[in-house]
Amino acid sequence: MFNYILRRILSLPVVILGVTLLIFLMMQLLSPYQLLASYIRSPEELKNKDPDVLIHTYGLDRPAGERYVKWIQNVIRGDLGWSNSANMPVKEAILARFPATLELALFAVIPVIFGGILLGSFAAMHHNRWGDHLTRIFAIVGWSLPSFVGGLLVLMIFYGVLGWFPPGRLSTWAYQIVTSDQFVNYTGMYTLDAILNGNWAIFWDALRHLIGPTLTLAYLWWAFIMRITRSSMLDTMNKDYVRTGRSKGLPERVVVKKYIRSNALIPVVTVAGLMVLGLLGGVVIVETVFDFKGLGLLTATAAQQLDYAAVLGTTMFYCFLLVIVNLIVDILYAFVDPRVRLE
Amino acid sequence: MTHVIQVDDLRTYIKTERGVVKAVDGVSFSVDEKEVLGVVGESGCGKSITALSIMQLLPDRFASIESGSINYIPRDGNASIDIARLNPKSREMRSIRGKEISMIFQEPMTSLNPVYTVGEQIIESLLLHEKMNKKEAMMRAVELLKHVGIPDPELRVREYPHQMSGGMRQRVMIAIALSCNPRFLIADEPTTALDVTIQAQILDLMKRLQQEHDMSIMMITHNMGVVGLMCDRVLVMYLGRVVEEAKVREIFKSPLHPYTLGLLNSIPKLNPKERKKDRLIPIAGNVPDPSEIVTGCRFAPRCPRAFDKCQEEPPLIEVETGHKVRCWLHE
Repeated sequence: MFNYILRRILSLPVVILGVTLLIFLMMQLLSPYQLLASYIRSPEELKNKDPDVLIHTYGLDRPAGERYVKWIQNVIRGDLGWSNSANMPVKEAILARFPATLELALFAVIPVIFGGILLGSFAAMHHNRWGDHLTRIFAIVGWSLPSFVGGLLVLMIFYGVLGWFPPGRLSTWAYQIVTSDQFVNYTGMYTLDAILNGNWAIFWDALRHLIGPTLTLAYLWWAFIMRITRSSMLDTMNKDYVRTGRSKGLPERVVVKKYIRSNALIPVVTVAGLMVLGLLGGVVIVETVFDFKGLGLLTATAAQQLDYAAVLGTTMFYCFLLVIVNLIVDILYAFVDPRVRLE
Repeated sequence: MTHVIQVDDLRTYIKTERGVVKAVDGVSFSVDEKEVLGVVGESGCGKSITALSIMQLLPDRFASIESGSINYIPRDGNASIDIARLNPKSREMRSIRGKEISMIFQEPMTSLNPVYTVGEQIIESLLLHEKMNKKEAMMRAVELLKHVGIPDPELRVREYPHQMSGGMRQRVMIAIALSCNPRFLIADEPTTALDVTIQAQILDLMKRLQQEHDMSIMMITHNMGVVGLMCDRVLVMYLGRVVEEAKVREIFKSPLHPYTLGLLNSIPKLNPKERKKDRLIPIAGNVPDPSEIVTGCRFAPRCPRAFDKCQEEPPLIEVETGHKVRCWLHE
């Protein structure tokens, strides 16, 4: 087990090297003038200066190899340039927005994965009967419903009519407290910070604002996990070892849990990893509908405004996330499937 | 001799898209205490379905016991239990499965749960039926592995199935089946998927364990060699029916049914003199599709000695004590 994890970690630098080379290659499509934004620290630098001089200063007229090394050094130091659309350094923009995305993803992932697995096994256990049909209809509707429709419906019902779950990340009063000196921002995730500060009013307020987007995302992604779980369970159900389990006289409940579900979860881990990655990259539409300022909105705005520095910076960040999530998925694999562990 | 299991007029039907297949169609037999009963026949003769009926492990949406009884006679002289009447998922049936009657399957490579260690899979039955705690059960699991001839059982008990060979896995299956000292063991072609040398080892082991544990075994096979080696009595099945039943000696000495004869003739002979004399004589044709059965003797279409009377189905005729055959030639 330890060896397996170590080997995975040791292979990380190779993956990262490949990823950065790829991004660097794509950067060559941009002119040095366009790339300049990724190098400067503030727009002040541009004032009354000839861009050609700056290009020379940052070595953008040097050979490719030299430029790559220089760029990597910048990336490692977190110097990702100035974002015009966010009006702050790219690094700060990402650090300001990512906690919101991370918080939303963490809140959405738990109901999606557990709910999806439960729905999937329920459907599989009632294969081709009413329970199966209803579950599948429920899930397919969620999957087919565009999130701008689903999100607006949630907003309309739970905010417009019931007034329970407002948009935004916090109410105005709570926002004032959070930005004041008495409140320490440990992580940028308001629910977690509220607990760390012992401020329960803020916690409930943050939670109230999270439920709307979480619900929208969960309903969207349930079908994804549910369908994989269902088909994988149906596949596993007819395996010989399930019959062996029954032949021991085990109750059906134990057979389903230890023989069917634990084997059926292996493919679910893969797709769940992909889903988490999608959520961490930001969910533009849901963030827009709920005015929930996360990474997705940042990237979308940057792209719209041709803010090269921010686009490059978020791309780099996203690749970094991808590598980390893949590592976690690989490690989880070893936990669910002993055959992977010992290869 | 007391019976362990007594099957009467068992009918198990399978529903398919093309109609109902009478996979087991009026089968009666019994197994005595400490007896090894062989059940032979080609694939599709209803051997495995008979076994799964006794275990109540039929795939419930496609197959079900239509009529007949399967009486299990418990050890302590209690009243017999008709398994055919029990709900497959009932507590009563579950307390018989794995505890009183165990089963070993054909495919050792796929019959063990890949995500648990073999130890965890052995102790499951012990925890369930023997009310042991986990530590006692683990120690017993090591003993069992040693008992079925697995070297280094203390290490092997912590291994996963994929770390073992087919023969080893079948030994583990045997250990699981024997863990609660069952009275009756059903072995469904336990050696078919193994190498020949491993086959001999596994058969040897089963014979030894049968004698040590005073078990009765129902040995399903299509290999007459296995029958000769292991069994006391044989049931020959063809298309869901018993066509001949006799002591092993009788079957080899004077097989009566043309189908039994055919099965025996398709074994290659090792003795060179014999080999020169008679070539292998395969049975003509294949087992017909069970959904297309009409009337008359079911073997008649493939039988070299079929005659007019075979339009009518023969009853099971007792030729000698304990030797029955379903054929008009022996009326």
